[in-house]
Formats: sequence, structure tokens, C-alpha cells
Amino acid sequence: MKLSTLIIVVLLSLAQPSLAVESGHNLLLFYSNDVHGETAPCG
Amino acid sequence: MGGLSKKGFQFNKIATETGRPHLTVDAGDLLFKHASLNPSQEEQEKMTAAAIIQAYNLIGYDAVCVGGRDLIAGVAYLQSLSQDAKFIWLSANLVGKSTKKPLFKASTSITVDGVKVGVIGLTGTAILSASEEATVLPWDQVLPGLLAKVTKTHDLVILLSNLPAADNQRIAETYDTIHLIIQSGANANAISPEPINNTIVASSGPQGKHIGIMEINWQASKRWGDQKAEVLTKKRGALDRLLWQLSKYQQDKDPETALRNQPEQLKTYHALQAQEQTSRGEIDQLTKVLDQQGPSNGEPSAYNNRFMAMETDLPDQPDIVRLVDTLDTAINKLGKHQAKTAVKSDSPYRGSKSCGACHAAQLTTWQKTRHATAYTTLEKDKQQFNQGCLPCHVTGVSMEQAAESLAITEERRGVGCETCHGPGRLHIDNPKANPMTRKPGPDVCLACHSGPHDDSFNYDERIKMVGHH
Repeated sequence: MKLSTLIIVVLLSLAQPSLAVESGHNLLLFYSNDVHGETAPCG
Repeated sequence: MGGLSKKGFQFNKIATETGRPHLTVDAGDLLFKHASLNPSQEEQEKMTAAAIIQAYNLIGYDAVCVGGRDLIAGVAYLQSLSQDAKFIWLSANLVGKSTKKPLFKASTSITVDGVKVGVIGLTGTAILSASEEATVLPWDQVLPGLLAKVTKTHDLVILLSNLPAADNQRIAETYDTIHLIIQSGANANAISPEPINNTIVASSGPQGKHIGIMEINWQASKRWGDQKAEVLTKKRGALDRLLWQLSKYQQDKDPETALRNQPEQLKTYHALQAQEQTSRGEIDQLTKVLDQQGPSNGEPSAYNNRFMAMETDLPDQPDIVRLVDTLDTAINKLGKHQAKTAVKSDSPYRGSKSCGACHAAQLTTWQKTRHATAYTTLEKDKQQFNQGCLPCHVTGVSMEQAAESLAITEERRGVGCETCHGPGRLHIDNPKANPMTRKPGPDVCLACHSGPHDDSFNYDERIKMVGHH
């Protein structure tokens, strides 16, 4: 395989989503919104 | 309820306990209390904004959307603040007026446990001054192109949206390659995540009172589990049972003839026939919808969402407590300095002692309430010069006139008689000609007993606690 072809193959594989070959990942998403400058309630 | 130190503690605790790799995001409008900057509080608000960014660094946020409210001190100010952030500020539609190029990153890529997560930010309504070299583009001018790129290279796509809820719904209905929308904005209360096609729309609610925690099992199908498929299976089962019942009627000969003399049985047979038609229609419709969605390409993905209220008795993350304490001290010091030059206005409020001259019994009752000690509570917390707190701990100052609270005289410290009954100057001069409000309405109480400070306020119950007639 030519070096240029190899580079293209590697770049294409990097650009692909990783789940094309794997599945079933357990993630945790923490989220918030509209904190509105509240650091802690007043006294 | 609320507090960054509690939020930090819980995120850290849950991540450790579950051992799951995690991602932490915020949908925007985090830095400022109000939709515009009160000049007298500008310095205090900017100090708070900077501290929030430090707290988000300590919590370990990954990405935050630029909300319209985050821009009230100017785009340049937020850009300079963002230099200190260890997380990414995102906005695909806040662009240079002339360049039309995003002023913050449009999207970012975060890999979590091998899953490539693409996160996009969209800014909502922003009040930008005419001199700002910035403008907010409509989402439909930027999202389609950006999404096409992000979708190609990511497994899971999250939109942090500061747009109105109606726009988020339209986006969810249009783009099933956005898997999750976390929304901010005035109406973004903590509500159960809503699935719209292949998009889950969620928000954790305002003022940091709740945190959103979503456990995700993400599969190669890139599709959330579809309830329609389950419903279809159940409906097919029901139709099978129905057909079996009908077959009993049709065993020997035409039921119409056989049941001619049994009207009740014939009626039941007709009802079963009608049910069969309805059932077949529903199954056809569901099958069409599922066919349009295409093959599921493997196992569906799943999520489990919960909200956690940041109750005052929850533990704190110590480094954030120190950060907030330092901020509070600095704000109080600033307020103390500002108080020296604060202008004492000609106020129509006279203070509770003046009322006591004629209403001694009522004054005695009031002195036993927490209203009477509202100012000393702030003093104990060394926040008696904090304009963000003061208006609710003194008499006759609204949030809009917070600067005036710094010049308040001793007799108006605490939530006095005139907070509920109105200013007393004219009444003292001529009581009969100038009667006071006898019983305040809920709006008077809600000016302070609301939001992050008292979101469970019940007027009918609380009014009894301060009653003195």
C-alpha cells in the first residue's frame, strides 16, 4: 500500500464515529441551566 | 436551597460511586442575576461572574453555552472572562457583525469512554449594545451546516440551547441526529425529559436549585429506545386475541345468519368486528411510522434521568465554599466602601419604632418575629453591605433601588412594619387622612419570598406566623 493511501485510510478511520465497531457504553451526564448568578442563598 | 458547593459535591460523589465516565455541561445564563446590569451593582455582579467561572473549573464542567444573559456586561467582557475557564464556552450563532464568524467555539468534541460526543451551543435572545461588533444569527442559518459536519464525526450529539422552548421543539422535530437538547431560558424549569422523535429535551430548572443527572446507555444504533415498537407488539398481540374470538363466531357458518335470533350475541360480534377494524388501522399507522424511521440497526439506547434538589443540609465541596466565602467577603468590603458615598434619599419610611408610639402591642409581636432580626442575620454572615441581599433585609427598598439600601439608617434595618403596611410618613402626620394597608397581599411577600430564597412560600400559612391583630 502506498504511503499516501495509508495516510488517507488512517485519516478516514479517525474521522469516523467510534461506535461503528463498538456498542453499549454507559455514560453519566451532569447538566444545569439558568444558574442566574446564584452562588449560594443569602443569610 | 441551591449553591455551587453542594452541586460540586454531588457531581463528584455520584461520579465516584457509579464509577461511570461522565460529561458535565451547562446550557447557559449562568453568570448574572438579572437580564440587564444595574450600574450600582456592576462591580459586584462582575466579581460574582468571575467566581462562578472559578467554581465551574473546580466542579469540572466540560462545556457551557453562551446564554443571552451571560452577555449583559458585553461580549468582550465574557471573552476576557472565558480566558480563565477550563471548560469550553460554545455559541454557533453569536458572530461578528461584519465577519459573520463565531466569537466563541461553535462546537466541541469530547470523548467519554470511547464515545465521541459532539456538543453544540446556540445563544438565544441577547440584548447587545449598538456599539457591539457582534450579533446573534437565527439558529436555522447556522445549525443545518454545522450539524451535518458534527454528525459525521460523532457518536452522540448534544445541543446546549439558550433558544426559546418552541425553537428547541422545532429543532428536535426536524433533526433526529441531535440526540439530546439541554435548554436554558426563562421557562426552562426542571421537567421530566421529553422525547421528541429521536431527541430528548431536558432542563434542570433555574437558580441552581436542582441538578440534572442522566445515566445513558449509548448503543451503535444511535437511537433511543422507541416506545412505538413496544406499543406495536402489544397491539399485534391484542389483535391476535381478537381474531381468535371472532374465529369462534365464524367456525360453522356465517354469524349474521347463525345469530339472527340472538340479538345480544350479534351485537357483541359486531362490536368485535369494529374493534378489529380500529386495531388494524392503528397497527397500519404505527407500522408506517416505524418504517419511515428505518431499521433500528441494533439495540436501542436508553437513559435514566433524575433531578436532585440542592437542599441546604447537603454537604459542600470545601474548595468551592472557600471560593464563595472569599467572594462574599470581597463583595461586603466593596459595599462598605460604596456605603460611604451612598446618597441618603428623602424617604417616606420612618422605621418601626415610630409605629410603636401608637401601636405598642403590634410592635412587641413583630419584635418576636424573624422579620425583626433580618438585618442582624446578614451581619452575622458579614453580608450587611451586599446589595444583592440587603433589599430583602431592610425596610422600604426594592431590588431595583439596591444602592439605596447601603445608605439605610438604623431604624429601617430589618423587615419592619412599613415593609408590609407601606411608608408611614404621611400616616404619622395625619393617621385618619392617610390610612395604612391593613393586610398586605401575596405580591408584597413574594418580592422576597420567592426564587432561590424561598420557593416553597405559602401565603396563607406564613401570614399567620406574622399576624398581630
